[in-house]
Amino acid sequence: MSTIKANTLLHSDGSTTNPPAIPALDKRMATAWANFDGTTGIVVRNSFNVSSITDQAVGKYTVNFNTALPNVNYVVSMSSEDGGGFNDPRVCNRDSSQARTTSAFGIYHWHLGSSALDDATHVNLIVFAS
Amino acid sequence: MKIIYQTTDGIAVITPAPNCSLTDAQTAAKDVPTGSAYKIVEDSYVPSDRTFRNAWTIEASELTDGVGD
Repeated sequence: MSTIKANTLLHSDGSTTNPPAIPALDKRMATAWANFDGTTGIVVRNSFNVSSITDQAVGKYTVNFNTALPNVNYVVSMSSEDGGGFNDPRVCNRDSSQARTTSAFGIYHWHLGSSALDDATHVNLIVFAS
Repeated sequence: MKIIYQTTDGIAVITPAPNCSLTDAQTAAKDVPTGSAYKIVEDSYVPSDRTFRNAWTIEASELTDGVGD
């Protein structure tokens, strides 16, 4: 048993944007993630391995991966924010009307109070794949 | 920058992720469905009022910037 102590771990090319491969740990790391605003057009606040977000309609979006995933058996976890109180909740679900592929998946944002699709101010999503 | 294409239900509007390494043209070719014609527009081209979002339309003759791969 040995311990490696280092302050910085870089790809062999020296790049700070090209991550080094750690095969045994890759499946424990997020393959993609994003935080976006789905109102008044889309604003992608921050993301990783997401090339774009498609606004399909009110409360319906498509997340497009920059680098395709190895298969469609990936895990998606999502959340959104309430409308300003405990009595105004919203939920994000994966949209089964949009095919789950290695390059994209669909989501919808539902306002429980009005039982209708609703544009989301905050959608947070994270994807794991191996 | 936005990328617009027609769907069976209306129109879809793609927003490229700001920290994505792809150009807008590369994103359009990759993320627009295969065979769908698209147009690359400034953000201001897309209405900010979403009251009638699901009724938005565009003339097919305007989708002249390429076709999804």
